[in-house]
Amino acid sequence: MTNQLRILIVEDDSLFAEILQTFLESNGCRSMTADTLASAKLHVQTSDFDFVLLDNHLPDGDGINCIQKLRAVAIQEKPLPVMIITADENQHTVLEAFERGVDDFLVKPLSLDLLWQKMQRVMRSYEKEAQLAKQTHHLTSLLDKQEHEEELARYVYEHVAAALVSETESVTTYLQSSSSFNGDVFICDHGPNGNFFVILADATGHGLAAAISILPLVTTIKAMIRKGLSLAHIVHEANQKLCIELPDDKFVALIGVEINYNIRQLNLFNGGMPDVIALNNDKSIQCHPSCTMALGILEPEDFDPNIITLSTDAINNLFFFSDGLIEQQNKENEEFGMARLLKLLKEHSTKEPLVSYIVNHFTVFNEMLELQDDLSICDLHISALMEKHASCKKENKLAKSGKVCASLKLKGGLIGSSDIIGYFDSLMRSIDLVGDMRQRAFTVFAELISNGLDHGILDLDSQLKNDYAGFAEYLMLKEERLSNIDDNATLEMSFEYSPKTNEIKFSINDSGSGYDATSNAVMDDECLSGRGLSLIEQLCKSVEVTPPGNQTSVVIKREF
Amino acid sequence: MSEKTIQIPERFDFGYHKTFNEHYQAALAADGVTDIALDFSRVSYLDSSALGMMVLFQKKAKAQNVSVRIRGAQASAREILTIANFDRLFDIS
Repeated sequence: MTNQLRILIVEDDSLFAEILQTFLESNGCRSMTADTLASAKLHVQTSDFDFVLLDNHLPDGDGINCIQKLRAVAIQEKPLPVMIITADENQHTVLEAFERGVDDFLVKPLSLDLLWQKMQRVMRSYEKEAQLAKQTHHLTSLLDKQEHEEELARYVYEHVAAALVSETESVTTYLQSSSSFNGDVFICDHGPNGNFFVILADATGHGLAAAISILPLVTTIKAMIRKGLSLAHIVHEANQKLCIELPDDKFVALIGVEINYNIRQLNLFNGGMPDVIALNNDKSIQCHPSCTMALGILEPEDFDPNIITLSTDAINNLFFFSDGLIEQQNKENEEFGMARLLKLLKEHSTKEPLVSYIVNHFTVFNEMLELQDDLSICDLHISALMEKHASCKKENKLAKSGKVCASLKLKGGLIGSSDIIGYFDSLMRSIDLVGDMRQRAFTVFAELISNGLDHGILDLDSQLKNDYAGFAEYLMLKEERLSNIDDNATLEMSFEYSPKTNEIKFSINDSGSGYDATSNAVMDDECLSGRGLSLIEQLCKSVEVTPPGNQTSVVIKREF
Repeated sequence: MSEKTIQIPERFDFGYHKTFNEHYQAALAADGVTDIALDFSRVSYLDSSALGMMVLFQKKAKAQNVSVRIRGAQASAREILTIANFDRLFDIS
């Protein structure tokens, strides 16, 4: 032992005490002697000891009766091992000594080597006990800490996830976790253009590790839906985000559905999830397998969402789920499996709700076994959603009234550096103008503004754009002139939208000398330019150019 | 056959011409490239200068015997591409 042991010898036979002392010191210990119980008490009250050798017969009492008291008054915090040394061989005394908490017992005349062995054994067992206590303490504090962290994680998880499931009619979901955290997440929400999004994501693994992979995604996806991004855009962004944020062995499989009520179509993305099953009105079943990798694996430039577009008219239900459903094994190690699921779906009658029908069968199959993975099931009742939307639309139409007018005037350098189209875009978003009309309007505004800018204010010759080298020169000239716009140059626009007529009136006026837009109206497919005007004409209900050609007014009307 | 993909952002207009030029030049310069896909899945906004840039790119690609396809175009972008008769110039899938 590295540290010198401190031994207290309580012995009234001074010769025997000295023998012990000499022996212990030769074994590298330091020792103190006390010849009475009273003096022994004083010793333990003032200093620490690693061991007490206690004679049973002392002038002021029996050692056995004093063991508890000695320990009680000792100032040291660590336990105090005590060995009784006595000439009394009576078994009753031995028993009594052990009952009073002595660690060992030696009978005089004693063998010093045996004493040393016994002392070491006692101390080793104390050491082990101390070590155990320390480890237990450490473990307890670790468990405590983990519990706290889990509590925090659960709080965050529940608050982020709670915001997700706004139970919507015609959307039925079933989520069951294999542990207290779920690595599956279900999001459903409307975009500002009215499109309805349903997203089911499943992170690798389950439990806390999976929940951590998926949490950052949840808020981002929600925000992107609210911002009005398309499904493809959302999926791209999510992939990029996960690519950066997750370690290489973690990824997120995802199904995304975007329903566009106006054109009666839905976009479907399936990255790494089991087949999405379409139950058609004619009772046929169509599977849509994953056609790209799960999110977070491929670099953004290699990622292709392969979104498919389906008509909503043929589909009654869209049924999808995480692999926890079909990969679950029962007691016979048999998987629930896709074949069983498809068979069940074929046999399903409309009397019983689809999700509870499948869950019931799953429960019977699985009996009471623990789930091997998180389990999520979703049934989108497409036909009901479409119907409900159609009846809502009628009501909404009656409520829509009023008008928005905006005009914008720019002068000088800011004409070239301002995001004018961005301004009109956010204006249109703020009045909830539906996506397809906004996108058409965007193209029209972009054309009108770039015409006004290029041919009016920057005075660029559109003839330049007719050949290949000229086009490059045109772009160069444009960059150059953009940075040198005259302070007196002006660009004025006015915008007017009325939900009642569903028309946008837009006019633009530039300080240029005007240009004849019709002079190069003939174009072929391979032309580099000249598409602008024909685009405008095809996207607008009416186009009016006021001579000398620096003012244009258009009307854009929504078609449906 | 080796296909390269060029990602097109949500808003494809004059503001993107520099980046687009860099991307397609890099794609055309890549070893053994035979096909280039323009990923339109994110595009919501598109104007005629973007169309001009695409024709320019298509011509350069054709000169190198590289075929160009447009993939993933959503309804509104597809409408503009159709109005511009781009289905005659590109394989739109």
